[in-house]
Amino acid sequence: MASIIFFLVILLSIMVALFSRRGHGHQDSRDFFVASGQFGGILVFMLAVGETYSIGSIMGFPSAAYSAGTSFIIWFLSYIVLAYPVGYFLNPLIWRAGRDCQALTMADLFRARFGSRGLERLVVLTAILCLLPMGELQIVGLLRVIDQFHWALPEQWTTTAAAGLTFVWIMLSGIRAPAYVSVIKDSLVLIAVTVVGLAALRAGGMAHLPAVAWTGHPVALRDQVYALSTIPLQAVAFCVAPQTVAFVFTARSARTVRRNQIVMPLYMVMFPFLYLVALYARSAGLPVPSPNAVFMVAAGALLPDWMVGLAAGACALSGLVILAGTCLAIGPLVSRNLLHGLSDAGQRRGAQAVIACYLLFSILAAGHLSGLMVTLTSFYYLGVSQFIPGVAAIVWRWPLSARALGAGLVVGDVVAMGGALAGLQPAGLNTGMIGLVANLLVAAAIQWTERRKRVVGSVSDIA
Amino acid sequence: MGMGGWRAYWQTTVCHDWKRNEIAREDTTLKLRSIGGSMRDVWRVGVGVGVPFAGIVLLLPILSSSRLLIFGVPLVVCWLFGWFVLTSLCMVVVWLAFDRGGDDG
Repeated sequence: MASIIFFLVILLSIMVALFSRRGHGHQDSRDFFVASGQFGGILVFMLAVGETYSIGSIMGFPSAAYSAGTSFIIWFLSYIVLAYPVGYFLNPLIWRAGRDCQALTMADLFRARFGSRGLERLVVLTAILCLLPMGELQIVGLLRVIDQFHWALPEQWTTTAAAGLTFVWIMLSGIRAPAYVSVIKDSLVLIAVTVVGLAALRAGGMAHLPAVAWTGHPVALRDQVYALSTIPLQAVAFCVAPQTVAFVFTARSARTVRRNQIVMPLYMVMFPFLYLVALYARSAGLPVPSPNAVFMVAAGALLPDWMVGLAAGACALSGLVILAGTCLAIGPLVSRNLLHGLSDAGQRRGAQAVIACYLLFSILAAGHLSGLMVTLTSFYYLGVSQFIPGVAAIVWRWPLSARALGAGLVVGDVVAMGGALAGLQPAGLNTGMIGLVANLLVAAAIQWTERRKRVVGSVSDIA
Repeated sequence: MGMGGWRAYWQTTVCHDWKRNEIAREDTTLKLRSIGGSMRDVWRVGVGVGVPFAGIVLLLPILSSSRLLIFGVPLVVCWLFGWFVLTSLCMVVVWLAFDRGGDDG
């Protein structure tokens, strides 16, 4: 029964993707990647909020809460909830900057503002490095969901089917497909998480909640320093991530973007239910094969078969929607910003080829490169946060040159990622924050040197 | 002083002074408006971002040191759950007070 419901959910997603194509059979690249900026509040909301409720959050939050306890919950929930007020002010400015230069990608903003191909390519390479492990992450999450069914299928079949389905969605109507599928995905996720959470509360009751030893440990000073340096950094970085910027460009107006931000924290109401699931799994001593399976194992233990199928379908769609969104962020970055001079149709076809390669890479990485992908995943916010000075310079017209920003970006990336690789965390500080400070200092120093050279040059001209 | 002299006097002194005063008045109005505008922005950002950041980030070290449990859930976790609603509320206040009527693109 669970399997039938699961397949019905997947079938429904295909039908919705087909529906999203209605009236948009012949798309140009602008419509394919950002829906010609026509999305109203609900679709932009679903796309943007999908980023919060990826398969990583639904499966990963209970698992990390289960294994790491309070210190993880603090920084994870804090940075997400604070990203929304930051986005309330920042995202409409990004939307306006994008409208002014007809941007489809974040790299378009950099090219239009600074007129530098070098900086544009640097932004693309950093963005791709950050986005590279996202596909593998979704596919691995999907495998943990499928494990629940005990189908005895080779993993490659499942991963290939998932990648194939994502590719079909994208080919059908570009960004419209994941946006429309998000509507059913988010409705199902809301139902599944709430029902599993309430069932966990009902089954466990307050008496079964775990002892203070697990939940009530005061957080160590070093963890506090890490949380305090990570929360503001990631709250801002969340808004300047390449796929978030692409989602902002799909909105009809800056007003739509701003209004959406107001509602988004309320949607986080699912996290208390996910927390209850982790508490229940811990206190009931469920046989959890790996922490990532906590949510599905709890669902299996608490819910009837058909409801487990629904929960699994919701989790699977979460992964696939994010996978599609990531593909649609990477595709144009390569075909439009890395390979210059392609026609409109060429950009679209090029992006589709890039997306196919990315999906293939994600399948292979899920099977053979898990270790490397875990490392790269930890680089995500370290790298994305280094875009903050550049985006700030674009929306607030800071007088920074392409050379200063490019040098800052490189130094920031090297310090942040190099520090993380070397295992450095001075006094518990997030290395991304240290990288960002280095990034800003280098950019400011180069800008100051260039300005000084110009002044000296003009004085000597007059003399 | 003949008519031509009075006209010249009027244009070069009284009218000039009046114009200069008018420019100064406009300048003062613009400055006041600019101060008002920047104060408005301070309030907008303060309520919209400052309050949630202060409520979450500044109080974290104190709350995360507490051993208090509310229905078995650590105080700091309950506090964070509460901020899901409070953060929205802060943005609602900013929207209603400053941004609702604005031409927003």
